Amino acid sequence: MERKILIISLFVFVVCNSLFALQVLPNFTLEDANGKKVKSSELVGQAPVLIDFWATFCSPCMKELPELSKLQTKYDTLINVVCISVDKPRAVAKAKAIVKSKKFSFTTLFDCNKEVQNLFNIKSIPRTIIFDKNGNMVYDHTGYTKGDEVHLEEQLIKLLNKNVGSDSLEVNEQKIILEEKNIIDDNEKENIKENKGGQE
Amino acid sequence: MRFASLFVLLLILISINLYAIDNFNISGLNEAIYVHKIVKDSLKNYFSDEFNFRIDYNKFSFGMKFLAWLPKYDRYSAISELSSNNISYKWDERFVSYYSDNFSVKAGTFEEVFGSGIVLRAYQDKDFNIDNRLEGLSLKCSGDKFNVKAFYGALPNKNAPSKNDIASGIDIDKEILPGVKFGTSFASLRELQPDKKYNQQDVLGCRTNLNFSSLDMTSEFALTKKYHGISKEGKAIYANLNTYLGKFTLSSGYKYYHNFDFRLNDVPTVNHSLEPLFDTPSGRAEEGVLGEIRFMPNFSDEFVLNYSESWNSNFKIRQSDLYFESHHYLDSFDVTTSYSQIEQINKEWENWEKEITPEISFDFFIHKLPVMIKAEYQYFEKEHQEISESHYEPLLQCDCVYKDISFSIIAEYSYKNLDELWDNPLWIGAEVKVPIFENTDLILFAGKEKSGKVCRNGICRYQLRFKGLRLELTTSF
Repeated sequence: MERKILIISLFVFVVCNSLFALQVLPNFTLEDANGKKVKSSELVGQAPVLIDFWATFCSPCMKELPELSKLQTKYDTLINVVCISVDKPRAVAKAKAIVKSKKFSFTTLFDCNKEVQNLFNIKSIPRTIIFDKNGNMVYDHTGYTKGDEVHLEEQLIKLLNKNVGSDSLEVNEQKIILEEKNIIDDNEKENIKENKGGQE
Repeated sequence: MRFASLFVLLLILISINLYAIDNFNISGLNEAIYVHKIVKDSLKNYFSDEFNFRIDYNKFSFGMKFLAWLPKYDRYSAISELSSNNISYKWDERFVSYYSDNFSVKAGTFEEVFGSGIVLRAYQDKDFNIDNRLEGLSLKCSGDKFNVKAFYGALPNKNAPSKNDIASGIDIDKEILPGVKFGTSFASLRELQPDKKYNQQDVLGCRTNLNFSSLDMTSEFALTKKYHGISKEGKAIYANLNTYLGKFTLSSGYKYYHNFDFRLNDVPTVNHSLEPLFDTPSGRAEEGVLGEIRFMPNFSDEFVLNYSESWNSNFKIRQSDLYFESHHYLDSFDVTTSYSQIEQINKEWENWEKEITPEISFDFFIHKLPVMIKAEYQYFEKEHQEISESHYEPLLQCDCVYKDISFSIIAEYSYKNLDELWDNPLWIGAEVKVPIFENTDLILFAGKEKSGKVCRNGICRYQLRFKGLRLELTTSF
C-alpha cells in the first residue's frame, strides 16, 4: 500500500510539474577558454541565450558547433550562444584546443565537475536550450542531425520578433539590425521605415 | 485509501501553488525504462525508474534522486534467485545547498574535482559503473583572482559497503599574472581495513595553468604517501601544451605515474582513445607521450593526426594509439573519414592485441530529409601465448529524421575469414525517437547491439552489449 502511494505521489508530482513548470536559467559560475569566470546572471538581461552542452567524444556535437558559431556571427549582439563542454577533467585540454583552433565566435565554458549538467539534468548530449532575455526557458532539444540549425534559427527569429512590438529606442535599434539581416516579419518593416523617417 | 487520496490532492495543490511564489522553481527529470532482455539466465522483463527533482528558492536549493527497480537486474544471479515481484528502491542522492556569486556550500551528496583530477576526482560514471561520490560538506569561495574549495565527506568502503571511509581535502588556485594561474591541492582518504584499522593515504599536488591567445599549457605535479599497512610513496606528473599557429594547432602531452593508485582520483590517459595502460588500478607505474597536429586550410576542411605511446617502468607493457581524421563540410553535404589503430603488448602475460577501425560517414539531405550514413570496418587481432586469432566487425548505420521523428538502423556483422562470411547471424538494431509531449521523449530500441560508444539519432551514449527491446520515457520539468 505504501509503495502504491509513493508511486502515485511521484507520478502526480511529475505531471503537475510538467504542466506548470516554467524553468528559469539557474545560477552558476564557470570558467571560459581563457580562464575567465562567467556567471549565468551576466548572460541574460540583454539578449536571448542559447546554451548547448557538448563533449569532444560526441560526433554529432562536433558537427553542431560550427553551425552554432555561424548563428552567433550572424546575430552578433542579438543573441548569446554559450557552449558548455561536459568533458571529463582529463579531456579539458583537448576540448580547449578544439575551441581555440576553430576560433568559434560563441562563448565556451567548461563544466568538468558536472555542476551545471546536474542543474539541467543532462542525460544525453548534445542538448540545446534557449532562454529568453528574462531567463525563461523557451526551447529544449536533445540531439543534432544536419538541418537542426534551421529549426534552431527559426526559434531564435521567433523570439527576436517577439520584442519588436515595443517602441523603445533599444528595440528600434534591434528592429533595424533585424531588417538589415533580413530576419524581420514583413508587417514590421513598414513600422521601421516610419520610425527611420521620424528620426531623420 | 482516503488518506492516499488526500495526500495526492495535497501534493497537487502544493505543486500548483508553489509556482505563485517569486524566485521559486522546481526542476527535475523522470526516466522510466522498460527492458525485455533476451538473456538465458534472466527473467527477461525489467522495469526501472529514476526520478530526481530540485527545489530552488532564492539562493537555497534542495534536491533528491529516487531510483526504483522491478526487479533489479543482476547478471551474476541464478534464475532461481530472481523474482519478478522483487521491487527495490533507494534515495540515491540528497542535498541542500546555498549559492551566491562568491560563496557556495553544499551538504549531502556531492561530486568534486581538483585540477585535472590527479589529486582528486570524486564522481559517478554510470557508463563505467564508477561511483565514488561523497556524502558530507563541500564549500567553495571565490574572488576575482582566486578560488578556494574544501570538503569533508564519507563514501562506502570497497570491501564492506555498510562501513564508511573518510575523505577530506582543500584546493586553492590564484591568478598570479594575467593568463597565469597557480594552484595547490591536498586530499586525504582514510580507508577502513579488514583488521578494523584505518589506512590513511594523502595526496599533495601543485599545478600551473597558462592561458594566452597563441598557447595554453597545464602542468601538474603530485606526491602521495600511504601510512600504516604497507607504507608506500608515489608521484605523478602530467603536462599538456597546445600552440595555435594560424591554420595549424600543435598539441603535446606527457604523463608519468609511479605508485600513484588512489581511490579518489582519475589520472589523464594522454591518448586519443582515452585508453588506460592498466585497467585497474590506474596510475600504477606508467609513462607516456602524445602529439597532435590539427590543420584547417579553410572553413570547410579539417585534418587531425594524433599519435601517442605509453609504457610501464620495465617496458614490458606498451601501448600505441594512432588516429587520423578528416572533415569536409559543405552546406548540404558533409563527409568525415577516420582511421584508428590501438596496439597493446604485455610481455609479462605474453599477450598482444591490435584494433584497427577505419570509418566513413556522410551527412546529406534527400528532399529536405536529413540522412546520415556511416560505415565502419573494425579488425581485431590477438595473440596470447603463441595462439593467435583475428576477426572482422563491419558495421553499417543509417539515421534519418522525418518531422520530429528520428529513425536509426544499425547492421553489424562478425566473421573470422572469408570462408565463413555468410555463416554468422547479422546483428540488426533499430531505434526510434519521438517527442510525445513538449518535455517528454520516447525512445524505442529493438534488436541487438555491441557494447561501447554508440552515436544514434544525433545522441551519443555508452551502451552495454544488449539484445532485446528497450523502451525509455524521459520527462524533464
